[in-house]
Amino acid sequence: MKTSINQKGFLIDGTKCIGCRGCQVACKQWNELPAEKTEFFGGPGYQNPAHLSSKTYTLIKYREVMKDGKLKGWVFHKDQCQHCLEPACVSACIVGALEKTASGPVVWEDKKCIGCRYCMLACPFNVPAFEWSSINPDIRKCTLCSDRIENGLEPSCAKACPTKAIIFGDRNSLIKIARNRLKSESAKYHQHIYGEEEAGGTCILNISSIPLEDFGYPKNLPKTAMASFTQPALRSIPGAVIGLGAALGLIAFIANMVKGDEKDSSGQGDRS
Amino acid sequence: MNNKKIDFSGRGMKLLLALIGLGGLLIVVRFIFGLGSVSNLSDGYPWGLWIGVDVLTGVALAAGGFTIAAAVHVLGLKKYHSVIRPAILTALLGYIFVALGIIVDLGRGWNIWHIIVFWNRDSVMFEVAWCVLLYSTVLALEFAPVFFEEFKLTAWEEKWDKYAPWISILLVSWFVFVMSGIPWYAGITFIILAACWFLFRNKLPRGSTVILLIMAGIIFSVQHQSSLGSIFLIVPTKLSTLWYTPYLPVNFLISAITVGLAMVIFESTISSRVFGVGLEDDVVKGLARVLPWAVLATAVVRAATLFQATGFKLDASGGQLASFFLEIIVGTVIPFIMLMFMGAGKSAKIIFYASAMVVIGVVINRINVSIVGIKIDGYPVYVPHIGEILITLGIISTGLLAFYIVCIKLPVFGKR
Repeated sequence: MKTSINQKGFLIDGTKCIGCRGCQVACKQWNELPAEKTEFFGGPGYQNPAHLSSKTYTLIKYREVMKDGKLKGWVFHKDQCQHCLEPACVSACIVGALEKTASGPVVWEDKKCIGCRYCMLACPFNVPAFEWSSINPDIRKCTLCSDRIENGLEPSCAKACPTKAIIFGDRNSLIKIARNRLKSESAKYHQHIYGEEEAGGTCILNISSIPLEDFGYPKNLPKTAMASFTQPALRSIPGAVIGLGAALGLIAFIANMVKGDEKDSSGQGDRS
Repeated sequence: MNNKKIDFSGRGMKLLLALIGLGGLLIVVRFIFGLGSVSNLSDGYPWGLWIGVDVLTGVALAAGGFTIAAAVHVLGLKKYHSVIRPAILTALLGYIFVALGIIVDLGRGWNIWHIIVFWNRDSVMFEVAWCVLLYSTVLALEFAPVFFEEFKLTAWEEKWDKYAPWISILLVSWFVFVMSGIPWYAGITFIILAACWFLFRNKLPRGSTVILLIMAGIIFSVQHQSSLGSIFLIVPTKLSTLWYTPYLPVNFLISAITVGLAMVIFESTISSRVFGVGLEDDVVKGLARVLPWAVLATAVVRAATLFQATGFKLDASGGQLASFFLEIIVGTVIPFIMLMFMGAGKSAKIIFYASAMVVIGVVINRINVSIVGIKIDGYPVYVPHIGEILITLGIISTGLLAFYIVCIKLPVFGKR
C-alpha cells in the first residue's frame, strides 16, 4: 500500500485560492448535502461554517496574515479528508467499515458501522464527522469523489475550482509539481509540502504561503502512519496470552501443590 | 442471611430509584432525538463522560475480580478466599456500568453484533470488544456457583465442574485466533492450557476445576485493562504528554490492579455498614497492607514512563496540570501516607478513606486520559452536558442497586 504509483490525490495550492468557495458548493451538489445552520464566529478563521461536519465535507479556511501589527492580507486553504496512505481511521475502525481503496480514496461502508466514533478520535486531522441528531447516525467525510474517479471523472471540487488551486492527479507527479513550485517561486511559498510525509504521507498534498499548522492543522505529526503506534501492542497479544497462560499455569500448579498438601483437608470442592 | 427482603422505602433507596428513573428517561430521549440532544459531544470531541467514566472507570473498578482471584487460586493465598465472591461481584458490577455505558454511547448499538462477523485486527477497539465479550462470559461462569448454591442446582453444578475448564480453554484459544488470525497460535494456546488442566486434575487436590476458569479470567482481564490504554496510543498529537506514553497500556494495567484492591476494601466496608455483611477485619487489614505497595508501584511506573516521554518537561495547559496534580495527590500521595504512616494497621476508618481516595484517583486518571488530556484546536472545550451527567448517575445507581439486590438475595459474603 505504501506509495503506490497509481494513488490519486490533490495538490492544493493555497496561493492560487481566491476564497470563492466554488469547491464547497460543488461538493455539496455532488454529494447531495443539505445546507447547514451556522453561526458567525469571531476567532481566527472567520470561515463559515467553522468546521467540517456531516453536512460539509470540504471547507475553505481563512486566515489573516499580520505584519507589524497590521493586516497584510488574507490566505485561504481548503480543508478536507487528507486520504492518508495508511489511514488511522481505517486501522481504528472496529468492524473495518472504513476502507483504503487502491486508487487512493478512503471510503466507508455505512451498513457496518456501529457508531463507536473511534475513527474520529484516531484521525489526526479530525475529519470524520458524525450525525449527532440522527436516530441512525452515520460517519461522514470526503470520499475524494471515488464514485466520480471510478467513472473517469475528476472530483467535483477540483472540477469546479476556477484558479486551478486544486489539481487532481497521480500523487507522485503532484509531488514533482509541488517541488517545482516551491523551488521556482521560493519567496511565495512556505517551504514545505504538507502531506508528503505527515502521518506516513497523504494523498492530499498542501502548499501555501504560510505553514498549514497556522490553519489549525496538527503540529508535529509523526512521519510514520498513526497505526504504527498501536500495532506493537496488537501484535504482542498472541505472545502475551500464551506466555501469561503458561506462567499462570506453572505458578498455580506449584503454589497449589505445596499449599494443597498442608491445607486442603476440608475435603470440600473449591468452586468460587 | 436470614433477612432476604429488599427494602425499597429507605431514603437512599428512593434517591437511587429516582436517579435510575431520570437516567432512563434521558436515555429514551437520546434514542429518539440522537446523541446531540443529551450530550455536548462534538466532531472535535467525539468521546466524553460516558467513555471516560462509565466505560473506562467501570472496567478499572472491576479489576478486583481478577486480582483477588489470582491471589487466591494462582498464588494459593487461601486466607483471602472469602474475598473472591465480593470481588467477582464487583467485577460483574463494573461490567454492568460498561455494558450500559456502551449501549448509550454507541451511535448504533443495535449493530454491536457486527464485531463477531466483521473483523479488523488492526483495531485496538476490536480487541477491547472481544475482551468485554469473552471476559463477561468468564465472569458469568465464575459467579454461577453462587446461583447453584443458593438454588441447590446440583445437576448444574456437576455440569459446571465438567465443562467449565474446557470452555475456558476454548475461549482463550479462540481469542488468540481472533486476534492473530493464525490457527497454530491458537493451537499452541490450546495445548498449553489443556496440559495445565491435566496437570491440575491429576496432581492437585480435588476442587481445582476453577483454576482454569480463573486463569482465563486473568488473561482476558490483563488484555482488556491494558487494551483500554492502547486505545489512546493512536492519538500522540491529541493527548497531552502528561498522560501519553507508549507504555499507556502498562500504566492502565498496573493502576487497574491497584484500584481493584482498593475497590474490594471500599465496597466491603460499605456493604458491611449498609447490609451488615462484609469481610472479616483481618482480611481487610491484609489487603490494606498490600495496597500502599500497589499504589507505590503504580506511581513509580507512571513516573518512569512520564520521564521517558517528557524528561519531566511538563508542557500542558493550566487546567491539565491542575488535573494531573489532583490525580497524583488524591490518588497516590495522600492514600500512601495514610496507609503507611497513619495507623492503618488498626483503624478501619483510615483504610476505608484511603481506599476511597485510591478509587477516586483512578477515576480522575481515566477522565484525564480520555477527556481532560485531549485538546483539539478550533473546537470549544468539551464540558459534559447535564444529560450526560444524569445518565451516568443513572447507570451508577443501577449498578449499586444490582449490587444491593445480589448481596441480599445471594450468598455473596461469608457463606462458607
